[in-house]
Amino acid sequence: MSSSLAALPVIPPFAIFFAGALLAALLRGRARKAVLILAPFVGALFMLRLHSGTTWTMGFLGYELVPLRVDRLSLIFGWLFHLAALIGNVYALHLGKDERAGIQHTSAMLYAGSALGAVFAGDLITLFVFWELLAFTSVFLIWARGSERSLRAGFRYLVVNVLSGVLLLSGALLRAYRTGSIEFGHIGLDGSLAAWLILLAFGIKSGFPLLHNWLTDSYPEATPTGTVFLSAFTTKVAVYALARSFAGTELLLYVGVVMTCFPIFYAVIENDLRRVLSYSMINQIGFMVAGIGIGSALAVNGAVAHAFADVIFKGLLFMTMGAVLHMTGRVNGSDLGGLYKSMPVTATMCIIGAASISAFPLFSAFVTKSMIMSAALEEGHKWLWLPLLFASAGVLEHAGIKIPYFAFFAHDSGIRTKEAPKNMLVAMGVAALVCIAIGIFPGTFLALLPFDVAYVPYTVTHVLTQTQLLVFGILAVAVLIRTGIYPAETPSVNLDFDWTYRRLGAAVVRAVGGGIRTVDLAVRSAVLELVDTGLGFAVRGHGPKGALSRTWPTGSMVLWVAILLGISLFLYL
Amino acid sequence: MSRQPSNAPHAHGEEGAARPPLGPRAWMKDPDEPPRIWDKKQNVARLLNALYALCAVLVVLDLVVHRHTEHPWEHVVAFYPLYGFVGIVILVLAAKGLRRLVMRPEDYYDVE
Repeated sequence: MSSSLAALPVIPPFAIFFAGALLAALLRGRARKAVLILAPFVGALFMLRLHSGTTWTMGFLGYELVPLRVDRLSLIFGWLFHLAALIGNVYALHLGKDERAGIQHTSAMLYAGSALGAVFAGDLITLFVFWELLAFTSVFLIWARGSERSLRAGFRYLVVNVLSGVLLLSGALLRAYRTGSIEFGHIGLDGSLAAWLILLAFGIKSGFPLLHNWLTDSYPEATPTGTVFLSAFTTKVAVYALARSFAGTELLLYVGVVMTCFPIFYAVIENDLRRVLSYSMINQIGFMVAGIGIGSALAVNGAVAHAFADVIFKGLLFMTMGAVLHMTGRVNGSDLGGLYKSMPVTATMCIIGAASISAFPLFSAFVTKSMIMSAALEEGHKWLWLPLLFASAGVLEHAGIKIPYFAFFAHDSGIRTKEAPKNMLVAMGVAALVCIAIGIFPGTFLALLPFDVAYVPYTVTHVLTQTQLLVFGILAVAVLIRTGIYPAETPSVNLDFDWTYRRLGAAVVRAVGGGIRTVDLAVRSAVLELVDTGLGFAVRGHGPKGALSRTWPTGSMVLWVAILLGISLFLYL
Repeated sequence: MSRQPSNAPHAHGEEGAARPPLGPRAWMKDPDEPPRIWDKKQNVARLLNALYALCAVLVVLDLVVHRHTEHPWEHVVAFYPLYGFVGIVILVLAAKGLRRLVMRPEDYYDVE
């Protein structure tokens, strides 16, 4: 096996996906479906050829570009993205012409390839190229929805993500100028502007507080299948980049804690269930960012492990909501309910995803999130551990209970449909199996993590305390619903920070524009008046009836000449 | 194909916020459809009783099992049950308050 593997050339993983994207664009029908399923497997085969230490370098304008750099951190993300691409492709197999299948499949393959390119990039310039490609290739998954809303959200998504890339490039160039190196390695906040710019670029794509709205704005407007891809790649590439360049940066611990806490309040009152999941996503990334900020081997392992688990369980939850949207045309909590009657398999998958994200024992986050929680205590962050624990309970409320409850149970909406298409069920099934496998056999999974740290998730204390936290959380929700205190699902939008640029900014632009217009009008009319007055004056003198522009017939001139001659004659004589 | 009237916790905005059309793969239920498992009140009651019983067991276990603790607050009896319950109540009440501040009609951003 190993000898036959050695015969394979080393190919950067993104190249296989870009080739697959080309085939997906050219082929139709079954051939395209075959490409979509096979490409991740072919990619995985070539992944076996990559080992820690494999690098490709090439010179470029005096700098050393590293388009392929393999180590344990990039490898686990590489495997994760292959798995996510496979699950996503299977989930999207049913797409037809009226769902813009060609655009969506091609876009998804290019997007997955860009994510792989970014995690295997060894220098900041290569990273920048894939960083921007992530935005340009994925925006079609939003636009393919074909609505006015998705068009606008797609543009906002593009602007913010491209801005992140511009910041990254500026930071990289400044850094190259200062240090002479464009290596994509540990950077840390060394007080230089370059480091801050790069951190800001990574922060935008990982949804830092106040920079997060592109995510909650655009993901729910994408196609049912597109959101599954979107939730897998961009933010996790950003988490990878933070883990590589800013591990142990204390600021990230505080940023992460804020990220875990503030979105859960929005998630409770949000009506669009895919937007609930988007807020939930920021909350989960918060745990990863906090882990990276703690910076110990256990904490960074925990952040990476949680990123892996999150792609799968959040993908699973997005898939179940996508299935509901695909089948019923609706995804608002206020419009749904009782779908367990029509879609029992999807409902079961949703509950597995919910149990995984809530970190119930035997499900994935129980293993992965607790590494971050343990590391926080180990490193002495006693007070920050409390909000993290609060946010853990909050996850249970919005993702663990709200999502399955309002979609599949609650009040029966009377909507009936059929079970989701088979390919969707298979994709959900694979994701559910991975969630459970990580929860039940954590050993194999933990061995793949970048650092060798012993961690035992299953202790009596951990199982008991986590179960207590969650079951009493469920009790609280049950009591609040039974007593009518729980807020009803209501068709609405909730203002978030994006109000500042979607409304306040627009109003300011309009007001400033209006002001400029008024002043401009006043100045113009004043000048026009002045010109008018001048013209009037000129017209009086030079106009058709003006004294200075009269014309006389030649006869009168001859007369005048004769008179002048007569006068001069008279004077001489 | 008319929508069924519905009660809390599904308060539908009556101001005529346009609901997306039902997809081509969905339809409204037959009025004669027999009740299913969670339509029966006694099943819901059973489920809730099981939940209450589980809560009781978990509190008893907290008294019996010696928990390994690292955080000073963990010594409090039934710390995790209390934290989970109180945390979620605070979360939901605070979110309800947040709604007064930030909730707008569904088409808020669609109208200029």
